[in-house]
Amino acid sequence: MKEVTLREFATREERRKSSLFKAFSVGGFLGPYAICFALFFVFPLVFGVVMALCSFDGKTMFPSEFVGFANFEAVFTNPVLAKDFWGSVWNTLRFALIIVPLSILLPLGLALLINIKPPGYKFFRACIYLPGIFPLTATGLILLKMFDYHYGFFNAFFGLTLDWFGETWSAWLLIGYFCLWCGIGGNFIILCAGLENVDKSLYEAADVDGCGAFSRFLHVTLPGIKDQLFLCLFTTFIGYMNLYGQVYILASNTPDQDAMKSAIYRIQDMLLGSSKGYGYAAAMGICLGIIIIFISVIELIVTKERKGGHAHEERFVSWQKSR
Amino acid sequence: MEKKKLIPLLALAAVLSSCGPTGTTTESSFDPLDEGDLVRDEAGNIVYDGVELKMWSVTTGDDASTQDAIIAGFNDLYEGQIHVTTTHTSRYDLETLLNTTMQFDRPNAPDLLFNHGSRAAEYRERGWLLPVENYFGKAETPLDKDDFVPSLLNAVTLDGSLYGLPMDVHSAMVVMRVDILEKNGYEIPTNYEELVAICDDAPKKAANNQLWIRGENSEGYAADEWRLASTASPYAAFPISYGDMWVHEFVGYTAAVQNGATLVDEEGMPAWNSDETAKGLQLLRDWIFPSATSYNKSALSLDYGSSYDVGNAPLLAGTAMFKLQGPWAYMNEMADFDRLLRNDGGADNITTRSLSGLFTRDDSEASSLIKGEGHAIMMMAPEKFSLTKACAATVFMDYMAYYSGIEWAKRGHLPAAISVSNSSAFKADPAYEEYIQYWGQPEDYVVVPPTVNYTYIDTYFKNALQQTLSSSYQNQTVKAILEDQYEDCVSYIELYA
Amino acid sequence: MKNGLFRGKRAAKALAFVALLLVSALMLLPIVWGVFGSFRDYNDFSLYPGSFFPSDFDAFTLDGYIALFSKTEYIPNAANDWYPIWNWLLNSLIVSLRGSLLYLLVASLAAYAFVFLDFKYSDKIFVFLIATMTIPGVISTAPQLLNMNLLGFYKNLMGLIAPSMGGVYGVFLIRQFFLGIPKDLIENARMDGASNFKIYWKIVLPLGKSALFVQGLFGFMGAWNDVQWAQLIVGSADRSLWTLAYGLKVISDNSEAYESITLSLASAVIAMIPIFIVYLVAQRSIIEGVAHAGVKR
Repeated sequence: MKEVTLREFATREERRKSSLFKAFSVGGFLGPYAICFALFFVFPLVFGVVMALCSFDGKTMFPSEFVGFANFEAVFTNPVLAKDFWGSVWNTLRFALIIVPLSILLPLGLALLINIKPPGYKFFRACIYLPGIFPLTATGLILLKMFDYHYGFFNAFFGLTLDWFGETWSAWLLIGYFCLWCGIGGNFIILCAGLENVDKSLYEAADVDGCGAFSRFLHVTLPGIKDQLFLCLFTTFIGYMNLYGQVYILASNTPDQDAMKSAIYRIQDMLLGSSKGYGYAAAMGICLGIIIIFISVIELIVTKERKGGHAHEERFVSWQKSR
Repeated sequence: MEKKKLIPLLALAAVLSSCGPTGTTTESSFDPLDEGDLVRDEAGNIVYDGVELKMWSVTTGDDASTQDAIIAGFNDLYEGQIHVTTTHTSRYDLETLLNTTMQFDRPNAPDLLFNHGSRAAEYRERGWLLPVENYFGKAETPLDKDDFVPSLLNAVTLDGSLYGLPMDVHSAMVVMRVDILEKNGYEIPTNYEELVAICDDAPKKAANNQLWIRGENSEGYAADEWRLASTASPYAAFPISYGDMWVHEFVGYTAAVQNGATLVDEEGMPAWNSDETAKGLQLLRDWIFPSATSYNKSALSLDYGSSYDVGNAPLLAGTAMFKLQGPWAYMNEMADFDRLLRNDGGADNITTRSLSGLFTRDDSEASSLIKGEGHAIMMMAPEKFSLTKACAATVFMDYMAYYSGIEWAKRGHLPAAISVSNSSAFKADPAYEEYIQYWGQPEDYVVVPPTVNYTYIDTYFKNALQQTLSSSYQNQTVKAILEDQYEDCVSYIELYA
Repeated sequence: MKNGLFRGKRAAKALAFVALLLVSALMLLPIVWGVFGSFRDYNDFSLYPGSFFPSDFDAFTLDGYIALFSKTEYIPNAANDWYPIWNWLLNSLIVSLRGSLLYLLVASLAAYAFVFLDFKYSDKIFVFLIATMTIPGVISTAPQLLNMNLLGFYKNLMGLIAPSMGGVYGVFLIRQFFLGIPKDLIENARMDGASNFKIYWKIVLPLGKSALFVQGLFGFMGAWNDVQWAQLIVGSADRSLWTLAYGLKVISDNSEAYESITLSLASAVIAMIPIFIVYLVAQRSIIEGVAHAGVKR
């Protein structure tokens, strides 16, 4: 009896380890996604890269001539293209630099409050997430009407005379508000779930150890949700580098368009109408992609170091405990 | 696995790209002797046997229903012979739809397009349009080019061929509160100077507690009860704003052309970077931000910034005497006043005027001009060409140009065919007497001349206009703003040339 | 000592309650204003802009909604004489549900492979996948349209579902959650002779439920709220193929009349209602999913 089990066990192990079987199971699990990824992501992307190397005749979406890196050259050297595109990249970057930290810290704070579990916290959680579920066009429309210069509720109620969508700074302020109002829901839910899953025994251990609230947050909570934080940081940054809808809805009437247009807005402009701009648009998209990758890699390196730092802290805490 | 999937697809794409643009009708393929799929009866007339024509139209809302009624008339008249089906799409979506359909879905492309004539040059450059004149000849549909307003015909005439038939022309217009003007002893203004005289005087009266107004209010007065305007806030008689569609589609251009500006030059390049344009836009700037050097001494309008439809509420409230409006909404406007002042004249308390002469101090031929937009029916280059369809289309175009009649004009679309607007039937209609006559002669209207750079010329002009009227650009001269925008505009055009 | 801790906890709860109450009110305020505005007369907006609610009973109007559901005058052909709002609703449901469920399946299988099948280069492949997330989607908009056309998905609801199948974010998110599942659990199951699929189905999926719900909701809402892509794929198709978000956008674009504030707000509210209902239901599931995953640990 025992012998058979052992043999069975051994064969099972062998089978599991055989490379053929492994390839088969990996293929089975990864295959469907790989196909979708290739078909609906890689193919259009490769074609997009091809577009960046071609010129267009304005009649069809198909490239008419291979021009090498001429489009990229134009994006860097043509006065008007370079001015408009890099200006818009700078607009986007500046905005991302402000909005990304806010889009993580604000939901983190709210998630911590939720985690205290005050009465009705489920309801509050639902409320905070609510605006984000609606179409941007619907929520944006409400903001447009609410902040109208002369007939909007906000100005009338507070007795202000500010043309929110007419001044560059206030338009950006409202875009920021729009992004937070409708955009923090995702991060908030992820962080809530992360906090919920932090090992409770760690908190108890920290309490027993007499840790203050802050050090408990630093040494237990933060390391416990670092995966989620990383996820949020990464996706939020990429999301806001692709900022478009919010600006389009709120600021397409602001007089100083050069100061309002985000990078994607510029690219989108070139994709409308005749196909003559497609090559430049694709080249701009790739430039923007490279910038995003570059900054993301920096993020990656920095967060990796931070993780190392936490590891030290954790070891330090356990060392303290053992004493 | 990924690679295997990819290769056939790429190959497919390559094949498709090589055959994509072919298989469509080319422009120069007309042969006067070719009878194609035409069927003729014994008398030699073309037989239309249930020809189905599909049209996309840029009209929406009430315009769309009026147009549908007109087309229903055509379908009844030609029952069993020609039938036109119309789909209405807003101007915002039409371009995208055309783009995708003409590239991917030509079999389902419309046969006809009812759109603004100024777009024709761009469409033709992409190979979407057919020249129409030959088919008028083939179908023996009468076509008298001299009967059409020159500017409108010119907009769809590209390299000497006609790429559509002009239908109408329309612009924004002014709605005026006759009751308030009369009560305060003002006449209906007919030019800029008279308008400014009223708009400069009214605030003075208001400040001295002498200006009579009435209308919708939140102070508890009945709407038709006369009262003196509040001295607390400055009175501005004619609200405009850069956020207003009326301003950036029509008034900005109109101010430019009334001061003698040319919008597009012979080569199809922008020509609005001129002193004349600057003069026109400066007048609009002074409208909101009067200065020591401006002709008007007080503001004709408050600074409404990016708000739109800014005249509606003040006009109803009587806190303004004039506002801009699309003529297609004038019937609704009358209904509103019939309701608001029902005990005292209703819609008789308002009247309407064209923009003619209102935006210049000059007294030249140009000062009566109005910048408008003209609708035209264009023939789309189909995947499979049918001569019968093309001939049937000319019959429909002719009908629409000559028989749309007064109903279409009531919505502010003045007929492009001169003989129609001069006809006694047209002038005999009560609506003509009541308001259509005040929108002027179609000959006074100008549209942007044909140019393949229309999108850029239009976009950058509007940018300049917005900045001129924006409070945050008051430290820049109009001329500097125009030059800036002109430079960008030309750079893009040259980039694509 | 214990008492003090208890009291401290109560104070914290009270403080958190007040803070959350404030934040929630701020979050809901514009939406409530919009909902009331959709029942409010245009004149009332211009005369009493500072009033949050319609200023009096007379200012209440159903005109916006009536206009939305009775837009008959545009369309002359009897076969097609109203805006098929119910069709749009169904289309949106099909696209959103089918899309998000299919993607959940595909993405969770892939995430399982990345976390629990240590195959060669798995890390490198995953890093590559993440790197692709940084590429702006706008590059591939035009080619994607071409792609849909080649596959026969143009003017077809599949054209709205398919592109999301290749998404990376979901795999990333689900993997992140799967990483939290103790490896021993999986190893033990393997020792017991469970196949990979069985482990995936019986252990990993139930444990990763919260992640699946979160991603499912994201996917659902993304598909539900999409306007731009829907316009490209079904915009030129028959009206009955439109999605709700796109159809309502067309209605609000088409009503240029100045009274349109009521109508636009009404169309915004109609666009929000179905997803609000879905949210009410799904919200409970998420909480359960999260709690469930918490208990299992």
